[in-house]
Amino acid sequence: MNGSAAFGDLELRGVCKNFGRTAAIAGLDLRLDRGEMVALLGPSGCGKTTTLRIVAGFEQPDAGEVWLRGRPATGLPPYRRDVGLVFQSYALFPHMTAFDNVAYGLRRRGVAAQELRRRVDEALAMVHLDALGGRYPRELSGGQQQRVAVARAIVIQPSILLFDEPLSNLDAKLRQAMRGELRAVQRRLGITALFVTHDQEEALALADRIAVMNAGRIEQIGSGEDVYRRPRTRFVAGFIGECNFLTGRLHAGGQLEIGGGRVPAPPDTAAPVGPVTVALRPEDVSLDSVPAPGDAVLAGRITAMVYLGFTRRYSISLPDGADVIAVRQRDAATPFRPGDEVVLAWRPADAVLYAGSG
Amino acid sequence: MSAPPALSSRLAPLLLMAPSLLLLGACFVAPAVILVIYSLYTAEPGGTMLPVLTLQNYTRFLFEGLYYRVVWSSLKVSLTVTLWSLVLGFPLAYSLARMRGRRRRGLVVMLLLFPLMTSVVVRSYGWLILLGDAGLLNTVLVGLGLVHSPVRLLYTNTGTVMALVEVLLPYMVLSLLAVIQSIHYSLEEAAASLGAGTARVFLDVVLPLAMPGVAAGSVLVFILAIGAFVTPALIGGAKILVVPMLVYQQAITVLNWPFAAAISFIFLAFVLLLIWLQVHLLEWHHRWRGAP
Repeated sequence: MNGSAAFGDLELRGVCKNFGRTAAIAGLDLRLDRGEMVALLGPSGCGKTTTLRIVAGFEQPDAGEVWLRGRPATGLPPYRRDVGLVFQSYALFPHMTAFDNVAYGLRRRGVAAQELRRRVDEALAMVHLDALGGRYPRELSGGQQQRVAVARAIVIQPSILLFDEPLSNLDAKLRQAMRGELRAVQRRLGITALFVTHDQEEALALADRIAVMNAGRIEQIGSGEDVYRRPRTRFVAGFIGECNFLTGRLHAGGQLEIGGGRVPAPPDTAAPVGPVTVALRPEDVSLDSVPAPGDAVLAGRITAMVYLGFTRRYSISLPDGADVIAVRQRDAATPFRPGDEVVLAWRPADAVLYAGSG
Repeated sequence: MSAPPALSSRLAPLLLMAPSLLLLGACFVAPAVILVIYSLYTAEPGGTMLPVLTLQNYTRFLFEGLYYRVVWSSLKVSLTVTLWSLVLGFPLAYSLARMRGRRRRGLVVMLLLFPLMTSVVVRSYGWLILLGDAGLLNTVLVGLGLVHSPVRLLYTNTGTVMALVEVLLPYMVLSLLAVIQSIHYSLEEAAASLGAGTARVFLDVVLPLAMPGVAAGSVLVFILAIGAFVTPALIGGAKILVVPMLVYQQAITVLNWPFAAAISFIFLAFVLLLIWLQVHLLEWHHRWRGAP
């Protein structure tokens, strides 16, 4: 066992941060293990960037502790933290070549010339920029600048690598490619990484675990599948992917009263008997005429259909006036039209219940 | 959509510029041309000029050692003023550039510009009150027992430098402010996260990137300082002769217009050279930064 297993590369314990009277972070706990990549995902203003800045040392928490590689780092200035940071704007030094940008952190650490040269070349090679070390940032494309920024952060072998919205400045195609590269570099170096994003697809594609943040708190942390399939709060369900929210009532015996009907409740729900909100993903709603046995079934009427190529998106009105979105891929049968009466069905386990009808 | 008539569109800018061009031409270019001609005339004792062309006025200033002392004290005062403006102005400009809240920054800039809103004569007399042997500064220094007898400030270079720094500081700060504001703060954070302490961040990131502002502000302050007349005359007194005072003396007291004109043009050439240097230094700087 090495020490890192006992501590984790990064630990935040009860971190709080206020700006004036508003709490940017309200009691945040987070632990990252060696080699793991975690995404802080949330809407703007949820505190994810502040969290990153606290780890980097640009902000000091009002309460709580920061630990890096098992050592207390609370209160340490950024230059004593050994944290590699990739900025949203890349923040490359415009008056230095790519080589000198990457070399900067090593020079500050007094690395000897020969070793410095070797390590910088290695880092540039890792991001496929071996030939462009002599260029200034202005002479590089956005994607190349991003790679220099990554090389500059990894070359110092930081205890943790931080990314602030790393791909938001790239166009859509480049973003896809860079995602793969970032992940490959991080895996190859076995480096622990924390990144901030508001883009759920980016979080799902890159992260081992996603921490969904809202109003200064982590609402849920888990694998992409965890947060998508088993969102712990209504906020998480609504923030990641698309979701139908229906208000209803949970009765004793696993009966759910919604949309003008009674259906089986999810078997393992923790919600108490009483008013509930049902979260249901559009792709989980089947419109097949013959539901499978045990399915939750409701009647409805199509009010609109949008053709999206690979899928069709239906708006369905339930007898009690609630609206449900259902997304079906390449229906074998003829597509429904507005006005058609349909039968909605879903597997009870696909729905998630939240107490209250908020 | 109809295109505007070609003639008027070509004439319009010219017509718009005409009044100011005429004013500049009549009040600045024409006298300057006349002065060039005067500077080549031969001076006669008693204030008369002979229209006999000669370079004697120029060679006299450039090659007669008599005036080197004046040039030297001018250069010394201006360089000192520039240096102090830079040393005092940089921290101020930096704090302003990094200040949050536009209104607060506007307020400080307003305060900074106050000296410029006062007439140079009033400001200079204010300095006389402060700097005199029985002035406020000396009263305080003696009263606190920091010095035994009053420090001589009036009619010295030190006094002149203080007064000039006060009024020229805003030019330095504003030149620096514009450039420092364009240095993204994340660059400083990047350097810090890579292991640079405050001093290193300043030396490696802020200062090199602020060089265009340093150059612009320094040249501006230097030119204004070396051309200043009222402040050195009132606070430096007659003892410390700087070039503008020499020109004044030659033109008004000695009535040697050709010589005064020649000195002015040598001076103008020097200032233009400085401006040219600054512009080209910036170009080299940009090339060095890898700009297109």
